[in-house]
Amino acid sequence: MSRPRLAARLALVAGAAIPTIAALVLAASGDNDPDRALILAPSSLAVVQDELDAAFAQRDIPEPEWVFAGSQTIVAQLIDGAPADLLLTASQVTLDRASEAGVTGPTEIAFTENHLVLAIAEGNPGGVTELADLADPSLLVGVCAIDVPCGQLASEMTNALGVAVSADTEEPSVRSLSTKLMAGELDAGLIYRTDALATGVDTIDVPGIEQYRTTYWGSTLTGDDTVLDFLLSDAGQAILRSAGFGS
Amino acid sequence: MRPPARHAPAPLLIPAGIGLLVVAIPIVGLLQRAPWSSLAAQLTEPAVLDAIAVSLIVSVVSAVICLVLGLPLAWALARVELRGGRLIRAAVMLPMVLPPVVGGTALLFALGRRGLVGQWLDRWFGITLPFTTAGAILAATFVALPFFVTTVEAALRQNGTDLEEAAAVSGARPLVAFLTVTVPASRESIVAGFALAWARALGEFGATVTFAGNLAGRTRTLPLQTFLALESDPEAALAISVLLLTVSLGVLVALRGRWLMR
Repeated sequence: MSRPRLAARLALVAGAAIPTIAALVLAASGDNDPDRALILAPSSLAVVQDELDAAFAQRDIPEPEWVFAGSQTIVAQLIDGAPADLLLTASQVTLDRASEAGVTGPTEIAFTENHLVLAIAEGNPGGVTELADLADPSLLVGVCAIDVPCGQLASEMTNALGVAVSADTEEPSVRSLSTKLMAGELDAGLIYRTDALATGVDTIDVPGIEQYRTTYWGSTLTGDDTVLDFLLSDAGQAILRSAGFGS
Repeated sequence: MRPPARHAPAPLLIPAGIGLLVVAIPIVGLLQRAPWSSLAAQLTEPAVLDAIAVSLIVSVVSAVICLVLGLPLAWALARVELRGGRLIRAAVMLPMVLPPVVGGTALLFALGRRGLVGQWLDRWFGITLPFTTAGAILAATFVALPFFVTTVEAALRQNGTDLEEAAAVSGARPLVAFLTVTVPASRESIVAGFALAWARALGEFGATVTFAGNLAGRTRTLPLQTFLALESDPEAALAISVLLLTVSLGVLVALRGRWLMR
């Protein structure tokens, strides 16, 4: 191959490769605004996002960028190097996993709690009256899979209260479980109180169910505590309580 | 026959190489993280064996349903002058491009016990499909059927109608001509469509979890087991991923072999 042709080829290669690589780099870096905090948050907190954003706007705090996913997922993403300014998790276990991997900040603070409720389909087609009904194999019963926090909590609670749940499905997230209850496809299921409030599904009172709780933890990763401080403030706690979090 | 490409131009080769990397890098990443030494132990865990059993039943039954329903459907699309044929073809192909979770939601609101059709199934026959293996099979069939139909329809169109017309002239009735002339002439594509549909059914996740739920031994297929294992036991998830990757790759290589031999 003669030299001029080689040069022409290289120019063509560069012409094709540079825009491609530039596009990849741009796509990878995203539009990360340094003023806005990037928050990794558990899906269950999505119900308060709008109210929190409104409160931040009132206080001239730049609106944060929220990334919602299951707590284990966001912790796994963080361990794998996802950028974030604040980590929020829906259980102690998932926070511990991040902590052990050394990706949490200097402080880890519990900022709210959640507990399960016995939710039923509209019109209560299964005639559910108490927690023990979850052991009835003729009813369509859903819980979260034991691998996710809501399933872990459900298992702890039903074991402690002596109910052997006859589940027809073990959902991978509390959201997919809530959807199936809302659609009336399940007679009963154990979902978070906050999800029951947000979706408006009917619930049955279970004495003592609120003793079995999961704690929400926050850890600031880049030194700016503004968002976490707000969550811990009276105004932040009021927003969380209005959605069913806390005691 | 390969087209002549002795001087592959770099402006084509470079993006082609990058395109290949986009596909190959994740697979290499998976293989590099896979727990090779404990692979056999991971794949013989009771939970995984349960999932393998459910996956085999669901994918094989689903592929057979695709064959039984899809062959006449492909024939109708290729041979019958249908009013609104384009729309019908688009509807049949829709599950290929629809996010599976949307398909699962659609199934839930159509065939769930409060659904459009499902409420009557429940009321008249006492049949509820969600949370049953039959529901998982239905979800898998929903996503797999277009792969069979498009593969076979293309072959039927390519083969043309000469043989069928000859059979008709010599007095064969249409159904006989279909079974003795059309089907044998397209058997390569029918096998290919069956294998593709089976592989797609085996890999199905979104529609299954949305419509059929997730219970060990009943609806928890290998992809659902993988998703759950990722939350608690990533090693197990990687082991199952290697298994699914191997099976999928095997199907594609086998199909490629068939097509090259033609």
